[in-house]
Amino acid sequence: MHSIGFRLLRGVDFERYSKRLYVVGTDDMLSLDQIRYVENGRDAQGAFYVGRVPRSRAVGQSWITTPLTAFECLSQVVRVMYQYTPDAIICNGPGNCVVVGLVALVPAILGIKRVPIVYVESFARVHTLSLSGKIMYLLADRFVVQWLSLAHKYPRAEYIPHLV
Amino acid sequence: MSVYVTVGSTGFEELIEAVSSRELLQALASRGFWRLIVQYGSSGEVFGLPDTASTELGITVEAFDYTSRPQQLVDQADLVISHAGAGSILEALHSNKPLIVVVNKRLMNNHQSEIAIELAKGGYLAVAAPAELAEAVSRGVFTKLSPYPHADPRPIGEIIDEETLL
Repeated sequence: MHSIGFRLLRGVDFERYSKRLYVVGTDDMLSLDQIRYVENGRDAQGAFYVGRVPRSRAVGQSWITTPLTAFECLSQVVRVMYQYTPDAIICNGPGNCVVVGLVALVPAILGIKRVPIVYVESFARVHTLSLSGKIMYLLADRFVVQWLSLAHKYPRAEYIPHLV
Repeated sequence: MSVYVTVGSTGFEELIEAVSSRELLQALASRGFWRLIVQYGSSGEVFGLPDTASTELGITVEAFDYTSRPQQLVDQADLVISHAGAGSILEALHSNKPLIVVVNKRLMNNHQSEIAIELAKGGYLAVAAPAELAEAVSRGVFTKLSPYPHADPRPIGEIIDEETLL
């Protein structure tokens, strides 16, 4: 999640969702601070876990080596998702959320359980979706955009302004 | 009255150059500002005020590269001049501070500037190119802005609830 994206979690009922799993890039120290802030600022209802996964693709990384790093990311995402079996997923942009989205489809395909995915496009995307957004538009159960011009272009998107 | 200039986590040479000019200090002084605080990030090399200008105009200046308390600096300011980063923009808007966002004309089509341009259409902030900053300040473009609505993330919780109840 982008640091602004963490503000979305203030709208989520931590009593109802008593376990939170955060999937965080191994190089993403900023998100660790944000998680601490989100979790400690709310009398810590229930418990939370942090699963560290490598980036599927670094910015500027060669496309030739991308399958290797993407596979490493995939196997780590499978590991944490299998370990913590989330009931719902919320994501907000970075490339790893596509991997999480794909892995979340597996239990539904196997007929085990449906894991709904809520994708919220980054506040910074006004007229065009991010690459993750374009892919998640196809995968997500609910797709939220924060600017009207995106809602006009993507009919399945829900326009909700002033979330952050 | 004090003004806080911020470039966020990287740098923005054109903005820091514009802030280092006599024209900007004069514009600030003409609007009653007497305190200038500059967070210049990695653009420290281009930061430098014209000799004696700040004493002549009666403006005290503080400058540093990064801060661990950006929100506090915004809260203490009467005007914020910022780069187009979403984080800095939201900090200023949610603190109800008048905001001028300086956008790089060369990156105008870059999606980074889009939020600032959209929010300027709504009258929540003013946008200026680096070369127009001093003039924008002296014209007082920041005096007639609309308050930005409070953030309400509750709809996301409602959507998750709806989906898990299916």
